[in-house]
This record gives sequence, C-alpha cells and structure tokens, in this order.
Amino acid sequence: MDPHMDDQRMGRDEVIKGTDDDAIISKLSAVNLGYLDDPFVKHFVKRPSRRPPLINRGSYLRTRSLDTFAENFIRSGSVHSDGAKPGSSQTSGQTKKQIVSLGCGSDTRYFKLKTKGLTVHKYFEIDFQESTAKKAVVIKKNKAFTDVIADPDLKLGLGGTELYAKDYCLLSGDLREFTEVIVPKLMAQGFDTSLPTLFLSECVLIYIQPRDSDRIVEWVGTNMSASLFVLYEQINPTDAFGAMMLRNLRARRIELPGIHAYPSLKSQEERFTSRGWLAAKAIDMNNLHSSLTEGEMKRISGLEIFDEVEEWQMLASHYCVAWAYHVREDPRPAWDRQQMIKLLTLAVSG
Amino acid sequence: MGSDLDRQIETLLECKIITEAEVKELCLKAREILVEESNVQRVDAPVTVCGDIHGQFHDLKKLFEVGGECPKTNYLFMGDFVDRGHHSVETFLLLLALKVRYPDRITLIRGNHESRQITKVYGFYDECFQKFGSANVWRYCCEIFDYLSLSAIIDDRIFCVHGGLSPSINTIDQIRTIDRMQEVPHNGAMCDLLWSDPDPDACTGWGLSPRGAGFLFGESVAKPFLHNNGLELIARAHQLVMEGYKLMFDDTVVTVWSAPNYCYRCGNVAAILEIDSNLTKNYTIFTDSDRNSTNSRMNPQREGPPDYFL
Repeated sequence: MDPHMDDQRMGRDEVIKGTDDDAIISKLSAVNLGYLDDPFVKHFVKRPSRRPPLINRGSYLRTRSLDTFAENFIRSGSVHSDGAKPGSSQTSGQTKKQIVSLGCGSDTRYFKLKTKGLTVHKYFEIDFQESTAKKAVVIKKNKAFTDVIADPDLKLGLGGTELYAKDYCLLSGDLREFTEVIVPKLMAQGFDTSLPTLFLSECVLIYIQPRDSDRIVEWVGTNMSASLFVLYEQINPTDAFGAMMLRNLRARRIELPGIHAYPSLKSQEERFTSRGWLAAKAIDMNNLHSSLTEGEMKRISGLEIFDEVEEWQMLASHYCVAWAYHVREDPRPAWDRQQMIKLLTLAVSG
Repeated sequence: MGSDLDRQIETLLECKIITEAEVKELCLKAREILVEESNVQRVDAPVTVCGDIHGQFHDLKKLFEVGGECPKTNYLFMGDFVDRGHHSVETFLLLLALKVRYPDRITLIRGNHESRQITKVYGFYDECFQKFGSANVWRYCCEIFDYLSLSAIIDDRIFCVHGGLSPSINTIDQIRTIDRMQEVPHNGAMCDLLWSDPDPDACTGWGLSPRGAGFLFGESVAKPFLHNNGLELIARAHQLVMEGYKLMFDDTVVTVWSAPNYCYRCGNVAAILEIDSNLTKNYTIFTDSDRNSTNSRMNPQREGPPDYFL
C-alpha cells in the first residue's frame, strides 16, 4: 500500500471524526435553548457554544425527525409467527426489534429512548475506534448513563473502545469494512438478521465513497429479514449555495464523497428502490419544517428571534431525510410478511 | 478635529478598530447630526442606494470600488450594517465616520438589526465584547441606532425603507410623526417599516410574516400607497436575493441586497442601485471580495467558518 495514500486517508478520517464534535456542540446549543430535551448530551461537550438560530432550528429538526422514526419503529405493532393466532399468549406483546446506529458519534438516542420506556431487544452503535473509545469512557464513568443501561454486567471491551450490555452495544469499526469487520462484530454480540431492524445514519454515509455506502445498503437489503433505513445528509451540491457549501467545507478539509452520487431527493430514493427495497421516500428540511404542528412551531418560534428566513430556506433545501424499508420475500423465521410490511409502514407514517 | 476624523477613517478603511474613547467621541458627533434628521430623510438624486451589509467589511470596500468612493458618490444605505459578518464593528464605525465627515453625501437609515435585542443574538454584541473587552462600544452604537432615520425619499419620488410597509401607515406624513428615538418595538408602525416584506401571495393585501415581526404586504397594498403619496417606487432591502436585486409588482417595489456571498455561505451576488438626476435606475452587480476567504483561512479561530450541519 502506498504509505502516502494512507496518510491522506488518515488525515481525512480525523476531520470526519471532528464533525461529530461540531454536531454535538450544535445539539447542546439547541438543548440549552429549549429546542430539545436531552439531559445526556452535555456530558459529551467540553466547551459549549451558542449557535445561531438557524443552526439551532436545524439541529432540532434533524434530531426530532430521527427520534420520531425511532419511536414509531419501537411502538409500531407486533408481528406474529407462522401459525400463531393474533393475541395468543406466546406471541403477544411487542415484536423483538433492533436498532443499529451507523457512525453514531456522541449520539444519545439510546439513552433518551430508554428513559422514555422505549426499548429494543438490542441497540448497536458503531463508529471509528477513537470515537467509541471517548464515548465508552464518558458512559462508563457517568451514573447518568449507567443507570439507564441498568446492567450490572456492563463491561468495556477491546482496550476500552467498546461497551457491551444486555440491550446496548457500542462497537468500533470502519464502515468502509462493513461486511468484513462490522458484520462479524455485530454477529458476535447477538445481532439477529431475522429481527426487524432500524438502521440510522445521521450525516455518515455521505462521508464515505458511494461504493462503500452502497455495499452497506445492499447488505442490509439482502441479509435482513425486515429493515428500515433512515438517513440524514446533504443534497443539492450544484446550485450556488451548494457549490459554496462544498467550497467552505473543503476549506475545513471536509469532503462529501457521497453527495454527487445522491444529489437529489429522487436519487436518494433510488439508492434504495434500485436495489429492490420495497419503498423509499426522501424529503428536505423545508418539508420537515412545514410539517411541524402549529403548536410546536409556536413553541420553537418563542425560543429565539429568527431573522434568517431566506437563508434558512436555502440551507434547509440542502439537507434531506430519506427512509426506506424492505422485507425479504422469504423472511426467516417465516412470520407473516404482510404484517411486517404493515409494521414498517406504520413506523414511517407516524 | 477634521484631521483626527480623517485619520480614523483611514484606520477603519484598513479594517482596524479605533479606540473606545474615539468611538465615544464619534458617536457624540454623529448624534448631533442624526438628531436633526427627519424620520423620512430627504435625499437628492443622483444617489446610489445600497441594501444590507451585515458586517461584511471587505465586501463593503468592494462596494465602494464598484460604486465610487464617498463623498464622490452620494450614498444611501438602507440599514442592517451589523450582525452576521465578521466585521460589524469596522463596518458600522466606518459608515458612521463617513456620515460625520460628509453628512450630506451619505444617508444611513435603520435596519431591523440596528437593535439591542437582535445584535445580542446575531453577533454584533459578541464582536464588540471580543474586540474591546467590554460592552461599552456596543452600548454607544446602540444609542446611535436609536437616532437613525427610519426612511428616506429621493426627489419626492422614491421611497426607501429597510423592510416595507405597515398596515398602520397610509401616508408619508404618518411616518414623520413616529417617535423613533427608542429600541425597535415588537409591533406597530416603526417595527413594520423595519421588518415587513413584499409577498406576491399576500392576495388580501396583508399577511403574517414568518419572521414573527412586521407583515407581508401585497401588490394591492403597495400600488395604492405609491399612488396616494405621489411616489413611483419603493426601494427596500431586508431579504436576501440571489441575483442581488429583485423587482416586483410591475417594477413598483425593488429589493436591493448588497452583501455578496451572504454569511460567506450563500453563494449570491450583490447589487447597488444607482439613480441618476433623471431618476433613471441602473443596477450594478458585484461578487464577494477575495479577502474573505484568505482572511478566514488566516484566522479561523477568531472569525469562525460558516456553520453547516455536520
């Protein structure tokens, strides 16, 4: 291997890891101003900083949108095994489910959900080793986190870079080695391809080459019995704002290798449908914004002055939330495929 | 005094700050001039009308390169000198110093960002604190904001205001009676002049503004206002326009935007509106200064890169 190439790649990886610090500061800013309720995020920020109103509003919308998907996914109905009658004792109650957060960074969603009583069979978080190492330390030493995990057998692994608990696993790895490294790690921790599983990717896939992100989507579609994929990332790289966005990010040494492969809402949907997924939908952040209830819009409007209307609309049109679901023709074990589709439809229609 | 002021202008033109004592003195002099101005300041053509600057100092210098230097060119700036950009202090103080030096060759009217409340959120307060170590300069400037005129009329024909119209105002005379020496209120005529936007969809005339202050006003409001007041055009700023300027309602309302690549992020061009003595209008477009990118590379800590969601 060309050692110089490797240096370059490592340098870029450092920058990508740095994007999490930026995102988590923005999230804390939104929390501190009352946009979001999240008592966990402050533990990951050393130097809080107040962000401009439009960044706060965006951080709020993005977090809220993905939270809603996760909550609806967990709450959506149960699926009955082959032969069992609805409501019969051994299959009643919630279907076992999993969540996999790809490139989780300092995300706190597992803790927020569980505090609300929303649990899954297993919640997996994956990121670069340096990121998981930092996260593992913060979690392990803070009662605020260990109380939520509530597992006396919670333990650190791989030199303190991973965490294993009954319903929570923090795993280290490079998403570019998804099938070779990440999948075996998941399997070793009890990942079950037969369970309905939500995959989350918040500004993550766009940082890797499309061939690598495509492999992840393909693997999920092929190997999971039932899956819901929700991602959030930048779009529209070619208009004046988009071109300036790429220039400004490049000045911070941040590249978005995925943006040209999936530059539009339509292409974001096609990244799933062209690979056989049953349904896919992408909307931009302006749609998210206008879908807020009147009450919620009133609440956030009261938090800060908001005089960035045109700029907001422009910025918001460069970020999208895309979701897609798939249920294999031959789900294993053989539960009712139609019911599973119904479950996933419910999860995305919330 | 003249030479002191000229020296301060030279300093500010280099994007360097003057001392706190000098700011205090400058503001005192500016106050004497501004207090004499009407809420609807009379301006004679030829004049060059400019929109939002927002602390983009290097782009303001580019504006002067494109439009000619003050006092050679007569300028009317329609507010929003501060906030968002990296050099609100230098930008506002330069414009204010030019106002004191050449009171008849530059007119400054108030934008919605010339306000205590807004500057605390959008950067000017923090910048003053950072550059002077206290909030004193911010306080002096905010006092001056209260003295800025609310609008201007060029040769009795072109009405210039930062935002737009107000449902509480039908005649220019009604603007003259506003007691403007105050922080921008949250509602009422003065607020609306600084906050409203024209909107083609405001069919019934008035609509609710997404900004939470001011109103949306439609063609059915703008045209009667012009007619009743013997005017031909409303020139205003306040809204980012990617092409630098935008004519609406059969050329009866124009938005002029003078901050190129707004917030170092939007990729837009900027415009100034040159009005000659026959009231012929010429729009000149300009792009952002090369110095923006070199400067933020040199000093990313202090100036900070533009924000995105990462």
